[in-house]
Amino acid sequence: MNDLLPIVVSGVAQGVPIFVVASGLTLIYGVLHILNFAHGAFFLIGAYVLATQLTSTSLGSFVITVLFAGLVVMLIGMACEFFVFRRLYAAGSQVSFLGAFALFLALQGAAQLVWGDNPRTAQYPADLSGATEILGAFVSVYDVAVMAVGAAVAVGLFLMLNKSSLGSRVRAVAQDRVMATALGIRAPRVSLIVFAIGSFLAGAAGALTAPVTSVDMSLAASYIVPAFVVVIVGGLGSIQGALLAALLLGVMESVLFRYATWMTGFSYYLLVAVILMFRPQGLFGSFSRTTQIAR
Amino acid sequence: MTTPVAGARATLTSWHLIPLFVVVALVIPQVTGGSYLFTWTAVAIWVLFAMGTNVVFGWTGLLSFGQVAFFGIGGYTVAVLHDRLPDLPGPVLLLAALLLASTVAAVFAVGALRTSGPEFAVLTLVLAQVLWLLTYRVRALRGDEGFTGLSGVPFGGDRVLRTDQELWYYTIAVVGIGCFALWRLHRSTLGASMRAVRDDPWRAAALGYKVRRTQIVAFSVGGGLSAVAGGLMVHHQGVASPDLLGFAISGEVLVACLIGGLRIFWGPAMGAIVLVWSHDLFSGTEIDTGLFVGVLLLLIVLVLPTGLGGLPAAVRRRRRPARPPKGLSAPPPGVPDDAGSLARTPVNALDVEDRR
Repeated sequence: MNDLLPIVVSGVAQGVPIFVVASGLTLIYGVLHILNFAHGAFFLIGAYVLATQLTSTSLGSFVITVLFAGLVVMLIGMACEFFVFRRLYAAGSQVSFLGAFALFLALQGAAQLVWGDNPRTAQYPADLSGATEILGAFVSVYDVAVMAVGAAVAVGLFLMLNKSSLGSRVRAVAQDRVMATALGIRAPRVSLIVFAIGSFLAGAAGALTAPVTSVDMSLAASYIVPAFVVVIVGGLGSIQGALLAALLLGVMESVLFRYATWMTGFSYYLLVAVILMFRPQGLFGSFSRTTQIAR
Repeated sequence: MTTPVAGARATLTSWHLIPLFVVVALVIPQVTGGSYLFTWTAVAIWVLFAMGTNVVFGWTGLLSFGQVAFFGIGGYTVAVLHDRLPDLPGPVLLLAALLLASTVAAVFAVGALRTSGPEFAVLTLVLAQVLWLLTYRVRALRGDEGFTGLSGVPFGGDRVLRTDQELWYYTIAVVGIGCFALWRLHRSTLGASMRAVRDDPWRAAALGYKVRRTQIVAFSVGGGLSAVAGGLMVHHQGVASPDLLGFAISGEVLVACLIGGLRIFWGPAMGAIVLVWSHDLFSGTEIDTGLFVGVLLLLIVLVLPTGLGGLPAAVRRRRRPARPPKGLSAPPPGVPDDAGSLARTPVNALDVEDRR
């Protein structure tokens, strides 16, 4: 047990940023039917904003900088929705997908232009550095804090979607955009809000990841692909699915890192292959949406 | 007057294209030289890559973000074989790349096509990412170091193609054969069934087409030709490194298809020419490839979804908006009148014949 707990904790902590990114992705997919590639770039920008703007190691300034990174990315995300995706809704999901890919490449390129090629690092806040003892095993304090944030995001999204009036509007638009509009729900505004939430989460996740990794351009691809895998494995549009898949993948990756180092990096892909073999619609996805044509 | 049978006419046209192609192939090295010829060779390779990708993307309607996976398989197959057996002639290397990549593509498609749409696109992305990781994990592929010194193409016996001119003729011959094969495929019943599957898979299934089998074949053909392009690229650049499997290349090849127009046979070729040359313009500046490609793709998706090939039709429509063509009644509302539009799949596939 003493051996396994740190592995599980660090696995869950690895899964949390991916869950936070994936929850935004799956929310946007549920409402707008866009798989937003640009999320990878949002994540990257969030990480860079933290790495460049963080000046002291106090917890307060860390939290403020994470929120600031989220807000910056949120504005970028809203601009993307307003100027790009809004024009593409009518054109179908394939075009939106290409548009999102274009935004991903363009934003990543722009980030490179702004911040250059050199990798950067960010410091842990002083209060969250070091390790603590839980059940006789040492786990990093930062990991525990990240897990708390992940839990807060999951609960917050659940309450927002199921208990608030905004949530019922979001669900209405996701279910039937035309009917919701006919009933007086301003679907474009709901889309904009959903996009704002999704991109805020991506930016904040990027900022939270910055201290545990080296911040460079490869971050975008190395987080967006697992996030996509999580969204697909969990079932498109399902936040519970994304949570379960992200934690599963995080722990799996961490266990493999400990016991079969040569396999790390592949676990995501193995899992997605196995799960899609047996459940092409993902763990929590609905089958009706997936186009299945026999033979 | 009797109308010629479609097949016979096609044969005639395709035979006419060959001399044109040969003339272009012979004239270009005469009027250009040095670095220009080098770039033209890259253009030729990209033409093949884009045309092969369009079998998947434009003809069959499968969105694949992992086309670079096959490009990379081709490149690495040629590099490894060339490294181990330096005497094997170039065409044999390319054939090996073709066979390996089309097999991998077919096996992948059998599994991945259990999903469709966005899930399938993500799976292709995953494939590319896995292969990229493999170049670091498999020791024989040498990670970041990669393979160098591959620029000479052995060509049977002691002959080695080294100069820019020789490499151009070699490349353009391979590209020509590839494009000719694609042209025949486009005119064949298999090509027609690919387009039927793209326009309306349910109707195609109802008519007895094997939808998934057609998609798998298309994916395999597209993968194989992308691999040939990758193999040529390795000889062209002289190196094989993980950059060959870069994320942006998948985007670039989709851009090439889109610039030219997905539903026009030569569209991707035109797109590749525009892409490589405009790329060349920016190569000296600070601007990153990804930014350039991203902005270009964004502009196309927003402004010109039919690509350059669709431009004449768009201009014609704008000039005479309301008048239907002579002898035809106005199309029923809701049926888009341009075949090239990526945005709207025609409601009735029979209304719209692909332009050549």
